[in-house]
Amino acid sequence: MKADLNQLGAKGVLAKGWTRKRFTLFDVLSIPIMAAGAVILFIRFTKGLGAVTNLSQDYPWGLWIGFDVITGVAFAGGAYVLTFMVYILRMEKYHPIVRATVLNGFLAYVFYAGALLLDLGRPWNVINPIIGNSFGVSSVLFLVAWHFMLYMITELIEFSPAIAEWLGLKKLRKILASLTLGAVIFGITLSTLHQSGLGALFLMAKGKLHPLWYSEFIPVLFFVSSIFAGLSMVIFEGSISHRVFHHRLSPALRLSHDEILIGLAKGAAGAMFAYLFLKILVLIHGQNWHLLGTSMGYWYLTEVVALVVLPCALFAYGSRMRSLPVIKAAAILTLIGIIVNRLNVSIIAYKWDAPVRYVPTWMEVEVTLAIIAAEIWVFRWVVNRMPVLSESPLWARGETARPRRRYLHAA
Amino acid sequence: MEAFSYVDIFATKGIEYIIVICFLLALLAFWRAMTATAREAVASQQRFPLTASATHWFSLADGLHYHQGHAWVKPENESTVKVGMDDFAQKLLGKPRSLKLPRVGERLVQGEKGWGLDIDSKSIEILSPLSGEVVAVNEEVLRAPELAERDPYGRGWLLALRPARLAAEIKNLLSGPLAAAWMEENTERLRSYLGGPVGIALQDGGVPVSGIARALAPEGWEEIARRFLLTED
Amino acid sequence: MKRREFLAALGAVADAALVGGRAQAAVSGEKTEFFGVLVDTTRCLGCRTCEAACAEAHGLPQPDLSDSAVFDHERTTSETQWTVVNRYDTSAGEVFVKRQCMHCNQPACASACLVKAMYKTTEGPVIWRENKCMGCRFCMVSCPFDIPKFEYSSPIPKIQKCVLCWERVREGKQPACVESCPGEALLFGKKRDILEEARTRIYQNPTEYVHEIYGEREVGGGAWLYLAAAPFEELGFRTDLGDRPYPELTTGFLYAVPLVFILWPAALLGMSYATHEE
Repeated sequence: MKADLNQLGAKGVLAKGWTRKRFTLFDVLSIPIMAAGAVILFIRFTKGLGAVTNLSQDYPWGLWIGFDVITGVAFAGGAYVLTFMVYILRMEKYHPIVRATVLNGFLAYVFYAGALLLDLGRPWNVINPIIGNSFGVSSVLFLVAWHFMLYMITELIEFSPAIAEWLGLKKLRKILASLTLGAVIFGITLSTLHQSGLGALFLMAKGKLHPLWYSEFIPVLFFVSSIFAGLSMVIFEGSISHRVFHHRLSPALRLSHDEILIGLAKGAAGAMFAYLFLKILVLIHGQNWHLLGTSMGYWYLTEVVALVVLPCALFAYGSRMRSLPVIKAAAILTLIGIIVNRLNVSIIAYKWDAPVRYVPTWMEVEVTLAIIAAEIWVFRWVVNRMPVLSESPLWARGETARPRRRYLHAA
Repeated sequence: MEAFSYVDIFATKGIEYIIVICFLLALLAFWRAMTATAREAVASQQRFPLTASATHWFSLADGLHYHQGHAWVKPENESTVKVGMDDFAQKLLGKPRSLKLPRVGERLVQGEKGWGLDIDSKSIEILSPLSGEVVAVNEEVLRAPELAERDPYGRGWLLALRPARLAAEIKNLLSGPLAAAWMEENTERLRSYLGGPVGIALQDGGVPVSGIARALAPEGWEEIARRFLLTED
Repeated sequence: MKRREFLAALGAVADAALVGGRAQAAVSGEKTEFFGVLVDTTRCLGCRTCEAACAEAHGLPQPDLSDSAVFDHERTTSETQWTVVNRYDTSAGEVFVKRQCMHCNQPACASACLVKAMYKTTEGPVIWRENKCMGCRFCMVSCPFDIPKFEYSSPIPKIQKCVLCWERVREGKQPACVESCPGEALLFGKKRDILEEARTRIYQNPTEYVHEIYGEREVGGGAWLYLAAAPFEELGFRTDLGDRPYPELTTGFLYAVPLVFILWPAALLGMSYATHEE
């Protein structure tokens, strides 16, 4: 019976059985949020950015860049870390979640990096850096923009076998699967550069960023923190999916879910451990320890101690004791820590001594929530139809899935 | 920068190197702390006494129940058990080309064919230790069959079963000192096959390499294997 | 009188050099040299005629020159005003300072612009090209002087900043503000020449000036040079920017990018091969 259901999944017939007749709480909340977001965006495009945002000449970048783009992309780092673990290091234990993570990564770039388009003042000229009209190759943003585009395509290629399985296109699936390793390698390379590149954007903000956050090593710090940001997001989002999409989970995933989370927690703990020492190194190198006694210094210590040291210890303890609640708590603390760090670099420690500080309008927050809601809608639609959390159809599983022969047995 | 007085641009280099050394030491400690559970697990397995003699070739894990066809059972929760092949069978057969595990939903019967392995051109069946319905199959092992040999009692589990008559059937399985004695008996039988100059294992110490049966008898090894696995025709 | 003659001569030389220089460059292919402006704040009267001339030359709203309340607080340029004059009460008395884009030799904005909308011309001025700009505002984040200003209230926003009257300069004319200045506080010419003039003024009048030319070396130097009788910290100038051009802050990262593109795929492919068991 269960095997038949999986076969049906390949053709999408399963989708009919999964139409929900009732609206969940998420639907009730997210639909008005998205509707309001659309209205606000209409105003933004007809009246200019100033009508809906608190951006100013002192603060050209606000929540949409600082949170949607910069933090959102850090959270999507799970895709390159997990594909590295599964396809390069061949840690098969994590194979059951790699598809969901790649899907999340793809959607995160489409929606959150796509949020970049909403923030552009003259978006009709976004074609310029693409068509070779005039490439500003000296610009870090040029590199980041190109990598976003290439990475979206790469993630789509990595995810496409799932789409081919859903549509029952066996030949196509085979071709796409052969591209996986190349896409993974390209994706990891691109991710390294644009995760660090988002940090490199602030290298020329030297006179404006508080010395405790400014360093020539911002790119390295952003890259390393994107590793545990991504892993924490996989843990967080995986825990939610495990409950919400329980009906779609393959047995292998259901059984190995706990082991996977514990393994990821170990990885996150290790990455955070190294990151902490990097932070110490950067602090000493910048010769700014005397600033730790100021109010911004205390804020810096809060970010590092409460939101990096503490979750690192919790991850280590939780994975050692095999305690899922501790691991999940550590993941949430880490996510908050990443948000705080990215917002610090882009908005809070940026011109920290300005007479009028930037605070986002409720409209900016609203649009951000609408984008997140829209991304979740698409994620849910895909997971309920395609073999992401559920098993691939039999024809796609390879030789080892041959049915066993039944023997006549001696009495 | 003013050009009128000395500025040391490498002022903190010394301290930075010290931080690096501290990091390396701390990393060692951190690593040991993180892998402590794994090391404890390995140590606890090795503590299980198999024979009175100084050497033992095949490991058994604590708390498992063994079928005489060399499959093991480990209760997971009230309704599910994990099932796998023991170390003896793994080393006897060696790394298979592929594992033919039953599909989810199929029913197995205690003492009848549970699953199969393809080794070279031969196929070997393993008897199921319990009756019940297959609820899960270890995908990891399907993709990397060598995992079953490397960690036969942990990550090398093969199936999860919902047993039909657990309380009754588990009496047919061995555990504790009985299992240890049975494993010693198997080891003795195998040792008797090694009388000749085979060179694959040391008679007095040394753990046998895998694929013992094949090393013993390149032609007809499957007969020897089936004798131990109780699947002779 | 002597000074005025000298200035006129210098102006004529500059004009001649302009035309002659370009013709020479066309013929012999030698590099064009930058233009610059010397601002001598000891001569600035605070009349703000430069503000009015700039607005007129570029179709911007005319500032109200009669309103002297503008001097009560420090102003910055805005999306409707490319240059402002501020008043400072300093240890050397009342000083008026004209501020605008510094037209850096290695502009952070031009390096930051991913579509080359912010563009350093060979003559020196850093201009903004409307047809290319995406409105990403990265130039604003990068500029150490916070000069580019954005039209947040417009659905078709522009970046507004001084362009050193590049169109006029190309035609051999002087920038509007320089031409209009009645106090001869602004001197336009080849950067080489006005730097020489600035040093000469300091040397010849050592008690009248602070012995420093602002804009000569800050963030790699630029087209606008300043002389003052009071320390520059007291005149609203940032003196903590250092001499290193801002684009050099990103070279470490950007130079590493091609290396990563070569090393990462090679290493990853090797690792993938090494873990492949079959």
